[in-house]
Amino acid sequence: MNTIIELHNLSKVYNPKTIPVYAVNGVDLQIEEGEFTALVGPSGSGKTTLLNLIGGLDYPSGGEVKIEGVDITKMNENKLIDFRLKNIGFVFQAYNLIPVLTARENVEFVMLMQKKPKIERDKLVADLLTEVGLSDKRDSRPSELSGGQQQRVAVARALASKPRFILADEPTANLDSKSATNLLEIMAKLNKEDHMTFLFSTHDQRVIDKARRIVTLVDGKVISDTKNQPH
Amino acid sequence: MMYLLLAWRNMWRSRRRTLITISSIFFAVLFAIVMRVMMVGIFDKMISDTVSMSCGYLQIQHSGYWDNKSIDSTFEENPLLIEILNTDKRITTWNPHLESFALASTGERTKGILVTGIDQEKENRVSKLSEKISSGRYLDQNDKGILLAEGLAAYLNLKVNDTVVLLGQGYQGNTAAGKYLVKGIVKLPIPQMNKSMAWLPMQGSRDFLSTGARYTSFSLMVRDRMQVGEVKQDLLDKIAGMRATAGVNYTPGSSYTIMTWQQMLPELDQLFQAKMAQNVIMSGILYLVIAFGIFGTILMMLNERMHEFGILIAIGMKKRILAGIVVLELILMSLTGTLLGIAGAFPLVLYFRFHPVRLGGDWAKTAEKFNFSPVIQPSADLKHFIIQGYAVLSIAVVLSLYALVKINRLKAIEAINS
Repeated sequence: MNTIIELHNLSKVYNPKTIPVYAVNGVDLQIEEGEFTALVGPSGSGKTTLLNLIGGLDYPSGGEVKIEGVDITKMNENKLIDFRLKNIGFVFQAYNLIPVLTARENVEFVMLMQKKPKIERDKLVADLLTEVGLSDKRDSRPSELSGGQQQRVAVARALASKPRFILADEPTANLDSKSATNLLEIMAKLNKEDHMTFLFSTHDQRVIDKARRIVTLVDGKVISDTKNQPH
Repeated sequence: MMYLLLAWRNMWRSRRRTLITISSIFFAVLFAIVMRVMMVGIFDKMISDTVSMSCGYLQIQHSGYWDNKSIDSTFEENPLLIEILNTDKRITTWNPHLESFALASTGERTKGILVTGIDQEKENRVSKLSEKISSGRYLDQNDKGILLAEGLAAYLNLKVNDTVVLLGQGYQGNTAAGKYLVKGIVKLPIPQMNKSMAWLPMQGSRDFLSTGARYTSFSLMVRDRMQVGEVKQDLLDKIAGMRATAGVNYTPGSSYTIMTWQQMLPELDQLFQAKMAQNVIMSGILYLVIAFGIFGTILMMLNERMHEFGILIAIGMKKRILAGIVVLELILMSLTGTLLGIAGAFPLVLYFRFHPVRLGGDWAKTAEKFNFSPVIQPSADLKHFIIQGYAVLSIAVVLSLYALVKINRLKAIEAINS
């Protein structure tokens, strides 16, 4: 197994000169290729901040974030954007699709930014939408899709760039039970069959139950890191 | 293509706001164009009427003529000069003049007037004098009669077939005197001219002034008023070349001088410039209103979509591409309003171009009082349409710099959380 993500003594401090608040406090963590890891913890424990740091959306106050050996904290903003496009897939909590584009166009958009040829784009879009069970909704706009369907399109979009791993910040938070289960099954299937690495934050027990590794954060610190038997 | 599609669809996300912005641009462009072409049309007509009846857009004179208007400062006919004028495609037509001031007298009334010796045919091509005859007829090739402006004829109580006596100073101190039969009365659109002008056939004028084959000026009409400076310079160069070829020790302007209509009619030019400046101020106010409208749209657009911008940057969209899409959106919006404004103005302007507004009653009298023609016909010069388009697009581009700066400073994480 290759180590994809390495965090060394990672910290993020807000208001360092007045009243310091440690959102992430000295986290050391390694994520291997093909893992299906849940980041859990109460609200304000630092889950989203940690995902943002791993995804290069925010700069840490200290420590390192290495993606396949490359320390992304040393990159400038433009290089980070490029790095994210090539290596990281994102699924956000909600409202993360472009509302004026159809499901097909939303998925294709990422490949367009990667300057992939049209033939390749068309094939991959069709494959991905089939994989997430939305081939019949390819021409629907986000407003015409349910929350669960939107999140499935978001997963397809995250996969479209052929990333090294996918970060999902509470992907089921706004979904009903059926949609949440459906989304989780798709993510688990992609992880199992395509060995796509997933790291997601959640406090949804259904999601936690599906994870094969559970990392628990409290007050920005990792307090437990356990293997789990998904059921 | 996808980026263009994205910009176009984004533009219609808030349909009502976009329609309001486009409508404001549409009306501003429409008003600005109509206002400008009407203004330019009025002045084009006024300048064209004035120069065709007086000095032309350009006038070739003997050096020093303009300062003392002496009949002694005249020049002889020169075939080389005539060839230059006939071969320049920018000069639509030209007509020779032999002008002098004289006293016109009949019965107990006398008035100082400008008598112009004309080549009937050429003059008619420029000033369409025959079409302005209100009674009597235009001068024939060998006519010995005179044409009088309507106001002058009225002052002197003269009608067609009456006789007028002219008295003035001829070439090299000769006395100029003659008695002429009134062949026609001319109604001029410019009131000032209507009170003081008379025309003799060229030969009749030469006989009156004893000048022989000499002229005071050649008045030139050009295809495009804006080309006046360029044509003048080319003519000066050609005249210099002509003299050099002829082997005469020549300094440009020593024998001939060329004057533009702006030099000869400075008051008219100043009035035109002042009105154009006034028009620019009015258009500026209109565009300021548009600018605020567009800026409001930009502010709302940026605030509403901050979260989305954050997501786009997060998934790997470069800021410059994102900014490009937003700018494209603004330009598309402005372009749509501008093109609709131009499209709306075009038939309106064309209609009034072919159906000019003829002022009547007090409006006509007031216009004439200020030397304006009572006919309002807009200019159909496409330049005025294009300038308005450029103005609005420039505003949109300048204002979109705000969006560029805002997006460039955007932090993905802050935007996502907004």
